Amino acid sequence: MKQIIRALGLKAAFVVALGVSGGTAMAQEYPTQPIKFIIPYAPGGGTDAAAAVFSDKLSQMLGQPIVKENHPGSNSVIGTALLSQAKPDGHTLMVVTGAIANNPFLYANLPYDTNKLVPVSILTSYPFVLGVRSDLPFKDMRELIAYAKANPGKLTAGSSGRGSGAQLALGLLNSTAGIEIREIPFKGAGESLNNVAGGFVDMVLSGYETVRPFAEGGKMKFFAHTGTGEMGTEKIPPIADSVPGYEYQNWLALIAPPETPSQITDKLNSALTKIFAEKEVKDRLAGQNIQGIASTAAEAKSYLETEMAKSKTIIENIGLKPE
Amino acid sequence: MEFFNNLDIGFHAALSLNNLLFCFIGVLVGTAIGMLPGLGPLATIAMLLPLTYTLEPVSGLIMIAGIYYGAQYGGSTTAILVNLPGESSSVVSCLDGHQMARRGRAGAALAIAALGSFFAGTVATLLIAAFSPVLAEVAFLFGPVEYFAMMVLGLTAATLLAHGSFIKGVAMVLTGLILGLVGADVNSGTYRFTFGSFSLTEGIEFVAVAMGLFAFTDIVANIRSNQTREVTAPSLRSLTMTAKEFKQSVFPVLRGTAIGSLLGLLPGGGAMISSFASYAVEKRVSKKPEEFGHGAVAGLAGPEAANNAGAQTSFIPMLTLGIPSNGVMALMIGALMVHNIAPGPYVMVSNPEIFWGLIASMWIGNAMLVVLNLPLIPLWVRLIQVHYWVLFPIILAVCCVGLFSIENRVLPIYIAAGFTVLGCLFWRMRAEAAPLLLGFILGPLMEEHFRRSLLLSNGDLAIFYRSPLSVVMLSVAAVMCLIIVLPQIRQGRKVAFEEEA
Repeated sequence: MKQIIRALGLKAAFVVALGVSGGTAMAQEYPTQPIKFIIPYAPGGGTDAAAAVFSDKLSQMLGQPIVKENHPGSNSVIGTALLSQAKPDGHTLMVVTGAIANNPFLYANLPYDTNKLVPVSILTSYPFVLGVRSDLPFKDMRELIAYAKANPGKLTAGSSGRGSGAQLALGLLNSTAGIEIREIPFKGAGESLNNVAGGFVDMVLSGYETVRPFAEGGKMKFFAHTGTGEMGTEKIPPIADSVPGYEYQNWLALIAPPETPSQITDKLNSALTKIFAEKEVKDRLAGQNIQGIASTAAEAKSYLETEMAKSKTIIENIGLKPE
Repeated sequence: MEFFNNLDIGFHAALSLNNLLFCFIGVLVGTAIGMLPGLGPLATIAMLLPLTYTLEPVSGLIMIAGIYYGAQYGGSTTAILVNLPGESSSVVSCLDGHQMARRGRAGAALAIAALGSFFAGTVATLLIAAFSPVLAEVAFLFGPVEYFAMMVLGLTAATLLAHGSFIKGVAMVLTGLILGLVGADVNSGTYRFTFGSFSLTEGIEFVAVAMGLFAFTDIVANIRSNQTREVTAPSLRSLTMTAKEFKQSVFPVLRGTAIGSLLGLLPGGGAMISSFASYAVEKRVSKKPEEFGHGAVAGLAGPEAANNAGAQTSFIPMLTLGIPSNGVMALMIGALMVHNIAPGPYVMVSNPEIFWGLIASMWIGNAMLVVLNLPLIPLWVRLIQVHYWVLFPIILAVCCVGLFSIENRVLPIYIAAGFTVLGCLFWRMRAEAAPLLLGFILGPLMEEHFRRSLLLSNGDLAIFYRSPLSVVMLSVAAVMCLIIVLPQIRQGRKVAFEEEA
């Protein structure tokens, strides 16, 4: 019951805030009213959890409550469209995954222009882990690639559907290593993990935390990860050790509407840098093998541009066309 | 020992203050709507679905489950006191239950119904706890191929066992299937039937469909019906039953529990079929069948136990295989999927607190229901007399707020309105809407698994008959179709011949 009352209370607070927001807020005084975070995914997902890591602290520092609103749909397009129409006064922001860099090459008629959005900060980044079902006749990445070369099209990997990070990471692996692992799309990471554990699909690229229970239960083995360097207590090697030059990172960014003034993004940035430097936040992220970044707005802008260029190449290589 | 460990996890989850509260809300609301004729558990759960989005998954499920079995208790109270089935599964309880009330044994009838239901509920809960893990072991063998076959079987059975016309059942399932196609296709990512609109890319909002077809349609249908009700109110003192009545109800309750537990497992089965079957059995085994319809204790005790047992065991196929056996279970699957939990054997492994918590809560909920139902009877009697013109506007307003809150937009409200019109049409055509909901949920899943199987086999259809499990399920579905369709063909031909002659 408490949750319901709280949810209603927040919504009510938000409605009131909307009513008062007639005058233009001076950037120096920002924020003057509750800040809305658009989460372009269904409630209870990974982005919600990641936003929770810093939103409470950010709200304390800025002295205004932060209200989360979930607007799920179309690989974050629906939420982003809402953001692009919001007032650029820093009171409406969005927490989004790397999907925002992929969407221009997946959808023909995006209701917004990605280049006009104002990236505030790249918050975190983390690699995928390659979980392979434990009863296959090879035991590390090198053997897997040798097997895939000898048996093209025999191995299968689960993905989370068209344009998902897992699909792109797999496409990049196939083209970089010169192998052919077939993609089997699922509705979400949960389902594809289950199918690997059940032995129907051979492997899956997914977040560390999602693969861990299966690896501990003996149904899957950690083979490698898509980042650089050894990872975590298990010392999982990077795929780049066997496939030189391979890297795929997932990331999370805070984005503001087009034409948001730099005074506002600067204020947000300095608060975020302080939060991500706190030991508690660092430890919490490190436990899940996630790297906290908290970049400046300029860094975020160039990061987004590089990522968009990368996504374009991968998506074209897979053979996906915008529709 | 593992059994007790599991129950320990379950009670640990179910006995948390939060979950106890939601269990209580569930059974309270369930009893209330069970008593109000016309408002069924399906409608109520559809209404409360948006609420569960903001809850922990286990709390939400506990509440929904509470509404479902709570309604079985509440329905019998109205049946006994007013001679109106508060809920479709208590139609049978009117027959003998109300006759008992008219002879001044209303209190005893209520006590028999409540205690019989409690006993059946306890047994069924134990059955779920004991057999689900066994079934789940088998379910680990289920891959895309087997899931496809299972869904074919589930949809076929649901269509065939639905009451009413067979053709209408098929038509409803197919309509649901088509509606389910709207949105992005999982395998190719292509958009289907979205008409270029981004708001339809995630498909038609399931809650809006359910609310329109069930909740709002029920309201429209009820406004048209007669609102005066005569209540045979019992006094609290009369709640004790005589030794003779107790003895007469023991065996019917045992038999009813067995029948209900079995029938609840079948796709398309559940509370209603169980109560009818139990009544038929009791009448047959009774030494005095002429008493039935004039206040026979067995005719009340058996079906009451059966409908409650059936309501509970229908959770087994849903929890272990992810196959809904009726509309309420379809809604439960919807509630799970919102939280990114794909119903199936893995739920038990990945989210044991949800699985066992739900089971433990069922027993707790059943105990709460006995307490709610017996001493509070005078209060409930007043509820039956509340006018719909007070109730309906409140329900409508709450529903619209709920619909808006799902995705923070107005579209689902319009969709629900559209489906209300459709639902009223179905109601006038006497076509049951539950198969549509099953088609809506299972259809896209079935297609997804079918195409995934073909992706895995590189397009080779042989994959479907290489798996023994899939062969068995597909054959059973085919035989079921033949059994139903053949007599109709024969009849049809007979009619045709008669016309020729």
